[in-house]
Amino acid sequence: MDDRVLYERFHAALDIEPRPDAYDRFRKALTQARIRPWQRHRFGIALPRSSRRLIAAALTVALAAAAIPAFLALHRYAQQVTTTRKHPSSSTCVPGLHMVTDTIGWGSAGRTTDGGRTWRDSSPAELPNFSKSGRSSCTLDSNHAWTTQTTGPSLTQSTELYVFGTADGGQTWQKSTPVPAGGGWVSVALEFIDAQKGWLLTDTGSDAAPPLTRTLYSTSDGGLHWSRVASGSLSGGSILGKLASGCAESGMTFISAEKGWLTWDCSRSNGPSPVQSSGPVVAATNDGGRSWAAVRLSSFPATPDGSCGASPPVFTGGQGVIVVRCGGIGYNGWAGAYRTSNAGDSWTLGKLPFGVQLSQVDFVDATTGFLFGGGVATSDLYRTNNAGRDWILVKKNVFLGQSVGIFQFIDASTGYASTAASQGALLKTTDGGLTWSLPGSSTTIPQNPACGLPPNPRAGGPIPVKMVSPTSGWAFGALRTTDGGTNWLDVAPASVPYRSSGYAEFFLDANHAWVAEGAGSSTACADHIVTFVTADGGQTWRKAAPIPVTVDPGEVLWPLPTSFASPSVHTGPYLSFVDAKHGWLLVVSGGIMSGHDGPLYRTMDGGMHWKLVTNDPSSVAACPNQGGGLGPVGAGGISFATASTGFMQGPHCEVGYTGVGGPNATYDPSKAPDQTPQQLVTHDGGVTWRVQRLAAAQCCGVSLPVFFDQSHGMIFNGSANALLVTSDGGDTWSLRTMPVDAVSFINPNEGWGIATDWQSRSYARLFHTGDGGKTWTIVNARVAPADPPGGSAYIEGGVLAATSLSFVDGRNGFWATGSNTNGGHAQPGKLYKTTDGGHTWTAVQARVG
Amino acid sequence: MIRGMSADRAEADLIRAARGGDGAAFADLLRNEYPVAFRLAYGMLHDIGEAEDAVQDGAFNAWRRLGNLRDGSTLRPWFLGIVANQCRSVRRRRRWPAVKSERPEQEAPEADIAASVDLRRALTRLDYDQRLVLVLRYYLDMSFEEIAGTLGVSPKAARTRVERAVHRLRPIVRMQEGLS
Repeated sequence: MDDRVLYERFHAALDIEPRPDAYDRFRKALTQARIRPWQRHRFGIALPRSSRRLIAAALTVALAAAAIPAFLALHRYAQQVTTTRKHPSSSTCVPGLHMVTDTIGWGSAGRTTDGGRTWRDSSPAELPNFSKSGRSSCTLDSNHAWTTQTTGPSLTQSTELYVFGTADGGQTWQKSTPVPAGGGWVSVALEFIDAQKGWLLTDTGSDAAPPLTRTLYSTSDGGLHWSRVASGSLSGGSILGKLASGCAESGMTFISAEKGWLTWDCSRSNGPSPVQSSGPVVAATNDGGRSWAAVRLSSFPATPDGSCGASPPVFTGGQGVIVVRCGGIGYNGWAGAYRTSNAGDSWTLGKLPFGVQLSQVDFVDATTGFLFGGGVATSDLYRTNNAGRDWILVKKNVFLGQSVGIFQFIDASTGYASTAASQGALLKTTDGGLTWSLPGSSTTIPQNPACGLPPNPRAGGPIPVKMVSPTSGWAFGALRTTDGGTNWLDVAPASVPYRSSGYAEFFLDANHAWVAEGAGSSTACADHIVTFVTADGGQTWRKAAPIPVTVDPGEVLWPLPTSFASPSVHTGPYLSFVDAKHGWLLVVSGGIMSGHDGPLYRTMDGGMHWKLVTNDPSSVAACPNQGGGLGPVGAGGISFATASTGFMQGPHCEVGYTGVGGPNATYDPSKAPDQTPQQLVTHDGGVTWRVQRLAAAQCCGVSLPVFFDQSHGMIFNGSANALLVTSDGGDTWSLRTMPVDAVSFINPNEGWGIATDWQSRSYARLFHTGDGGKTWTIVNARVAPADPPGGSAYIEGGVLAATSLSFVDGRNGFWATGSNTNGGHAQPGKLYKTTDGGHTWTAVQARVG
Repeated sequence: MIRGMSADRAEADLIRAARGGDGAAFADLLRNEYPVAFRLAYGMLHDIGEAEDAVQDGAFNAWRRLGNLRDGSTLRPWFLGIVANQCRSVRRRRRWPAVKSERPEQEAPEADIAASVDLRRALTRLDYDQRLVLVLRYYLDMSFEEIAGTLGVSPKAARTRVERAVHRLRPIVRMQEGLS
C-alpha cells in the first residue's frame, strides 16, 4: 500500500462535502452566540475530567504540568493583557489572576499553592445538559470561590443558572438552587463581599434582538439561595435595564451591603444585540442594588465611535479608582484613571500617559497601580503611587519583546505575570517589576523570557516509571519513591540558570542517577549542557563542568516532548550508563530536519568529567534511493550493553515520494528507499559506529535494546507487535511476534506484556511469557482501571508506551496508564500495582511531595 | 484577505471584531476553513451530524481562545487543531466507535462501499492520534509542515507519526482484505 494508494483509498472511503446549509447553520449559531474571548468561564481550562484525576503522576503536579495547560487557558489574553482587581475586603470576579497570598492563588488554570509553579484544576464537575453561556467566576480568598454553570435543552439555550460555591479551595462544591436564565444566551456577573453576602447579575434574552432583561439577585447564605433585588429592560422596570444597553459588563463591585458599582465596556457588545450606548459606563447603588444611577465622570471624551469602557473600581476605604478607556477596538485611543476620596460621590480625572486597553492596568489598591504598555509588545512597565495622577516608568521592554499574557501585583513590590514565552507559568517579581524570575525556587534562577521555558517533563501521559525493587523506584523528572509508588519525592537537582529545553535523565539503580539539562545565557537560548550525578538516591547531586554545544534554536526551543519511548523523553540529549562509572551523553546538535546526532561524550568517572568521543556518530547512516532529496530522519537515543558495546537508535528512511506532500506528491516506487529499521552499533565505546539493519522488524517504533547481561538483550518493536531478541550481544537479532503493546521483562525468559482490548477499549489484557516471548498466556483478561480516567471505562489512546509496564520480579509490577498524545494534549492516567504476578491490580494513590 | 468573505473585510479586522464578541465576524473568518474542518471531523467521527457539531463546538472553543492566535500565524492549522481536539471529546463521550456501513449522501458501487467501510473500520482499530495523522495526511492532503502546525509538533515528528500510523494501518487492512 503505497502513498498514492493511501490517498485514493482515503478519499474513496471518506470523501464528503458539507451539507448545503451546513455553513449557514454554523454561521447563525456563531452570530447568535454570546462569547467574549477574553472571558474566563471557569477556574480550570476545559480539560476532560480524566485530567482531574492525577495519575501516579499526580506526579504530574509539577512545574510545567501547569505550564502548558495554563498557557492554553491563560494565553487567550495574550493580545489584551488581563489584569485583576484586588481588594482586601471583596472578591475578584474578573478574568485573570488572583493571587491571594505569595503562594496561594487562583487563575484560569485552577488553583496554585506554590506561587504559580503548579496549578490544579479546581472546577466543579460539569452539570448534565450543561449549556455554554452564563459562565462567571469569583474568588474571595484562599478557600472561598464561586463559579456559575447553566443548563438547557441545547448548548446555546440556557434555561437555568446555578452558582457553585466552595469553602475549601475547590475540593468540594455546593450547588445553589436554580436561577432563571431566560432560555437563550445569558450573561452573568458575580460579586461577593464576604463568604456569605453576594450579588448575581444576569442579562437574559432569548433571541438576537434587544431588549434584553437585566436582573440583579442577592444572596446571604454564600450563594446557595438567590433572591431578586431589581430587574429591568429598555422597555420597563428598573432603570438598571436602561443603562449601557447592549454593552458588555466589565464588573460588579460592592464595598458594603449597600454601596456598589456596575461597570460596562461599550466597546464590546454584550452578545447578539448591538451596542446602543456609549455611556454611562459606570452606575452606582446605595441601597444594595435596588436602585441604580449613572455615575457622572468629568472630562469624558467624545470619541469617533463613542465607545468607552470602564474597569471595576478598586477601593481602599473611601478612596477609589476607576480606569476608563475610549476608542473602540483595534487602537489604543484615550485612557484615564478617575479617582475618588469620598467613596464615589465625586470623581477626578488623571490621564494615563498613553492610550491602553483596560486590561493593561492593574491597581493594587486605590493609590498604587501598574501599567504595561507603550514600547515593544507593550512590555514597558509604569507605576503610579497617587491613584493615576502621575505615572513613572519602571522599566522598558521588561520581557524582551514578549507581550504580557496576564499580570497582577499583590502589593507594591510583588507581582506575577505570564508572557507568550512563559507557557502559562508565572514569572514573579519582588522588586516592583525590575526583575522577574520563576517562583518556587529557593534561589533566583536567571531566566531569559525571550527563550521560553523548558518543557514540562511531567506534562501528563504515562510517566515513565523505573522501579528497581517492589518499594524503590524513579519516575520521570527525578521523582523517587521508597514505598512502592505511594509517595514520590521530587529529588531533582536545582535548576540551572537560563535553562533551555534539552533534558535527559538515567536511573541506574536505587541510588545512582544522572540528569542532563540544556542551558543558555543572557544572550543565548542554549549554548551548553549541565550534568548532575547522585549516588545517594537524589539526596545530594554533584554538578559536572558544563559542556559547550552549538544547538539549532529551532530544535532547542521546541516546546513539547515528542516521544515517551525512552526515559529520555525529549528529543535530546540522551544518557546511558552501564555501571556507576561508565556512561555516555549524546547531544542533539542538528536542526529539526537533519536527524544527525552528536557529538557523543563519554565519562569513566561516574559523570564528573566528560570526554568527546566522536562528533557525528550517526554519519554512517544513509538512505539509498532516498526520494525527494531527503536524508535519514529520526535518529536518537543510546543504550550501552557493556563498556564497549553500545547501540544508537538509527534513522529511518522516507517513503519514496517527491515533493512536500498533498495530492500532487509524486510517488516513484523505483526510488523507494530501503525502510528497514536500522540501528547503529559500536564495539569500541562509541568511537566508531556501523549500521545494523533489523531486517525482520518494521519501520518506526523500535525501542533501544535492553540487555540483561552481556549476551542477552531485547528490542521492542511497537509498530509490529514484535520482539527482537539477541543472545550474542547484539550481533544478530531474531524476531518474535507477540500480541501486546507494551512489555516488561525481568530476565531473558520471563516477562509480561499488556494490550488494549480493542473490542471494548475498557480494559487491558495482561499476558505472561516464560520462554522469552515465544509463547504468551493470558494472566488477566480484564486489567480494568478501578477508577478510570474520564469517569467512563476507557483507556485513552490504548497502551502506547513500552515504558508504561514495569515488573521488578516475578510478582511485583507497575503499570502507568494515560496517553502521551499530541504533546500538550497528554492525558494523565493512574499508576497501578500488582503483587501477585499480574492477577490482580490496585490503583496506587500516588502523592508528590 | 479572506477569500469569499461577505464584506471583504480584512482578516485582521475580523479577528479584532471577533475578539470583541462579534460572532458574524468570526463566522466570516472561518468560512473558508469550514469545509476542511468538516472533512476532518467527518474523517475522525464518520458521522455527519457529529462532525457538524464538532466543528461548531470547536468554533466556540476557538472563539474563546482567539487570544491564543498569535499575530501572523496561520488560522487553518490552529483551528483544525482545536476541531481535532473537539473530535477527541466527542469520541470520548461516545465510547463506541461509530462505523456506518452506508453513506446516505451518495450512491456508489457496492464494491467501493465495501472498500470504504473496510478502511473506516481499519481506522477505528487505530488509536486516535494515529487516525488523526492519517486523516490529515491522506484525506485532507496536508503537508508535514501543515500537520505539524495542527498537532503542535515538529515536522519531523509529524512525518514520523504518519509513517508509524501507516505501518500500523497496513496489517489491519491486509487482515481485513484477507477475511473478505
